[in-house]
Amino acid sequence: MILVTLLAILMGGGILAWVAGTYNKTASRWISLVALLIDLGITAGIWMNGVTGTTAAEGADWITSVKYDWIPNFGMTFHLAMDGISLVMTSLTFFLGAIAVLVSWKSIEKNVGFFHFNILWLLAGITGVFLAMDMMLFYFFWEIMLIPMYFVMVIWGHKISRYAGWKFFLFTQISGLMMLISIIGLFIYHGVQTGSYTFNYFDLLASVPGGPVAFWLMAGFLLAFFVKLPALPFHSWLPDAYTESPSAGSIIIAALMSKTAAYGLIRFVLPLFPEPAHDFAVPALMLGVVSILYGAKLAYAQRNLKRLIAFSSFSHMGFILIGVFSFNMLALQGVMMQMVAHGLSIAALFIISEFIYERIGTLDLLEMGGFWRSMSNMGGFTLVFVMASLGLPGLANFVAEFMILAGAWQFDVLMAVLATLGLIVSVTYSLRILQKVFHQNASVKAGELNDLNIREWVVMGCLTIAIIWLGLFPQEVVKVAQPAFDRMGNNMHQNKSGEIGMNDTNLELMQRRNIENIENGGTAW
Amino acid sequence: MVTLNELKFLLPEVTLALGAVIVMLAIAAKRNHLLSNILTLAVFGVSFFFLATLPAEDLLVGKLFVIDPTSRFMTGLMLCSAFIITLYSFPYFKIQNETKEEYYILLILATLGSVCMTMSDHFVSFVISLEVLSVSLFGLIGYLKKSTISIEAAIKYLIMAAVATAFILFGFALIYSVTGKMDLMGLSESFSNGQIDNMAVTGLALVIVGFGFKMALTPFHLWTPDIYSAAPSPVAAFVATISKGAAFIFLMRLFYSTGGLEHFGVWITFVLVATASMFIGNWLGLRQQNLKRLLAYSSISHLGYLMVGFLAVSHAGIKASVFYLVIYFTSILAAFGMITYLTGKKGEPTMVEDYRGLFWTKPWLAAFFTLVMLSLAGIPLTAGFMGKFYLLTAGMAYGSLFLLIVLVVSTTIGLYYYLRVVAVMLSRSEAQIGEHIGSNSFVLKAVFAVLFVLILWMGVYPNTFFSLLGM
Repeated sequence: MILVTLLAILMGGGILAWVAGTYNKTASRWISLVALLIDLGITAGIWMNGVTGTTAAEGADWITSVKYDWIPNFGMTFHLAMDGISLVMTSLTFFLGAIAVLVSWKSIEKNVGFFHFNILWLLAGITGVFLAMDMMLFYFFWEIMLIPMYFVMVIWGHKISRYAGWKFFLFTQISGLMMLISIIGLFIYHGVQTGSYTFNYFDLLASVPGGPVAFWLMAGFLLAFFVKLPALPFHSWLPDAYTESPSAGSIIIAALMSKTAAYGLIRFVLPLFPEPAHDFAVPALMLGVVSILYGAKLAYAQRNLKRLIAFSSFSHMGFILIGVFSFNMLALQGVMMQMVAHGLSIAALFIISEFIYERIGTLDLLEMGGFWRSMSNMGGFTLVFVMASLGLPGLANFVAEFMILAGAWQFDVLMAVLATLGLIVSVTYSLRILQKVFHQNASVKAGELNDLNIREWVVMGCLTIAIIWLGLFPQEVVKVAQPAFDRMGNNMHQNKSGEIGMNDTNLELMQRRNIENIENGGTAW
Repeated sequence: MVTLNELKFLLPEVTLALGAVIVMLAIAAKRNHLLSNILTLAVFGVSFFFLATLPAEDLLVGKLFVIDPTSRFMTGLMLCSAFIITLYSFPYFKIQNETKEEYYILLILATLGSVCMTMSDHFVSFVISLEVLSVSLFGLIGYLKKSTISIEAAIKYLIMAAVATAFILFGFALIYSVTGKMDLMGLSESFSNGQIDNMAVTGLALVIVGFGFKMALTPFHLWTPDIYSAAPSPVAAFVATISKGAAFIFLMRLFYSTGGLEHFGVWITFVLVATASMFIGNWLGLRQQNLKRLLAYSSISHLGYLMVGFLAVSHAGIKASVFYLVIYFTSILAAFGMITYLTGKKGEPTMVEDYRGLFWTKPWLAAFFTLVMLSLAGIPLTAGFMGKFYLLTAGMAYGSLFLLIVLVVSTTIGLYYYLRVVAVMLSRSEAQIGEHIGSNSFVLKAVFAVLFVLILWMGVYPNTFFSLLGM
């Protein structure tokens, strides 16, 4: 029930904000902020105490669940369930959602009510994706994200936002439809095999497909997730969409929407298609490595600050691909960390670019420079997140990338080595941000700039605390998600060969030791 | 012979036929637009009432008509659509400088023809129904006789319909010459006895051509944009929905009962026609600036999607197609309703540009139209998605993966022009839409509210409609 409440608060809050927006702009902002904070409070409560009074029917590692009939003719159920992974991701969604609302407090002046309606429904779609345990319900939420995002992009975006909106919509729509075909294929395949036609995730898990059919079914899912992530050949929508969105849109699309794809890989692709996923590992790792290096190269070449950040995000998403397809616990935990850490750091960088844009009205790096003198506070925060982006030990991104690489090492040494090069190139483009914007010769615009105000301080402060805290205590996140990973490991172990080796006790010991090391302040073995 | 008891099952159609006479007599007694309109609404209402009270049993009336769940459901759907079109027609024709009353006679007759087509089980009853429909449609399309473009469209449709009928009749004749049967029941026996020779296949091919014209499938689609853009919007809505739906149902009856789809040549022809319709319909719409022509291309592609259900030769295929028809009817009626709503003394707002900035001046109307466009595009939460989902499921169960991929890819192409309409409404503009008939028509607003709820309802929780379909 609590899961329905989470969604209802967002959707109801969205409608309320729209209605209120016609009378009072500020009211609509407060309504959205409060709605998100209530949801954040609820998830924080679950984090602290667990859920009292409800038991999950799915198993002990599920925190809570709810299930209603939806369209019985097709075996569709309204089935939401939360495990550790979902808990982490929904908390992140509400946290960054609240940040996004705060960031747009001043910059969105037109149709404020409709804007917040879109933001809240967008977040509701993302939350739904993290909770849905019925394939059609998942697909519904997956697509619900699109329309509000399109509106946010087109109405409140920058100059060529209509073009960017179309591109984004068409890319995600066609890949989504391919996934729909796969979902229906899975439904029919499962029905033919077992005689029960159902879209329920847990029922489908009971008999996973095999052979070439499984590969093609997986391909549909992979296409959708690779486009949204985005992975290498499907990334051309990314720079336009990230750059042309208003800042709240950029934050949500980069920090949250791309995570839905990573989540989909972990939740659906690995458990439902263990065998073909394993066969596909090497190409996937290669895609990941090329994404990392090529993305870094593109990022370095950009003149526009937001485009630079966008490509850096693309580059970092390569790590997620590597982590998912390394098939071991350490890498998976790394992916979990990376989803959170990258979400926080990329959001922070987009927020900084927004603050700069509000002050000087351009994103062109060549017109910036020497801002440290007038905006030293902003410079300090930027330094933190630039360091996070390049993977400085002590910050969350380092932990995440380190775990992923350590995991990948056990699966494929060459790929791990190549991916590690990514850490080096990320230094170049990350430092370039700091240098071009805050140091160098003072630009014309450097003179009359105001430093951060209280609202901006709150936003950046929250993000900084979060990223340092996670860097020092990554176990807090890993611990929450661990039961879910254990179950996945067991399932895969039962379903397929031991070669995946998820239950390898040595591995577990090793990763425990790593984390302890990191927690104790050691940077490596 | 037809007994009195059997005749009871034809009461909805009898009501329609009598209704046409009643409206005619009423015009003779007193010429009044409102009166004719209300009488027409009453005729459709009474006919629907008789339909709803029919006993739920399947029956063959004479050899000509079959009463089964499909015909019952389609009759109901068509009566509802005709009811809505009548509601559109009143404000639309009120401002036209034209005699208005006879329009309703033609509307009732055209509906009668369509309804009879869906329940035809015999070549003869089909051809007669088809002609009742077509002849009424000539009149309807050219009803605004002061506008030359409307007359041109009517003549175009006349020629096309005549050619199509000629093809169909010749096809029927060939089939008859082989089997000696004209009723579908008899035909299915003959065909299952292995009488499907080249002559019969030629006959079926000619029938396909005829139906291709009627349903505007590629490559027989060329008339559609002209007719849609020249006909009055309520009439265009009729052509797009009821007349196409009726043709589709008989096509399905014919090919399912004869088993003609088992013949590879016939099968591949349909696959090609469906593929071409999906692609061409979505392709030609891309650069289209005229909204009515755009809807014409949209309807070509939708009939293509419908063929995916038709080609999934199964019970699920029938259900999926009929369900898709419901959704298609609802969305297209809503779209043409929107054009009707914004019609003013100066004419219809046919260009996409006329809708610029609508979101900021009339948010509710624009939200409604956005929903309609998204439904036509097949985005989840709207009816259009559920329809496509059902088609995809039926197609997947049959294993026609090729058609599914075509459907998905062409849908995405089409998405571009639906989104363009939405984007135009979203962009800011100082220009205001002028005086229009919808602003003081409470009825139109009520219809829109109903359609709005229906589209969302079918998209989110379609169980009610599935049970209506008898699943």
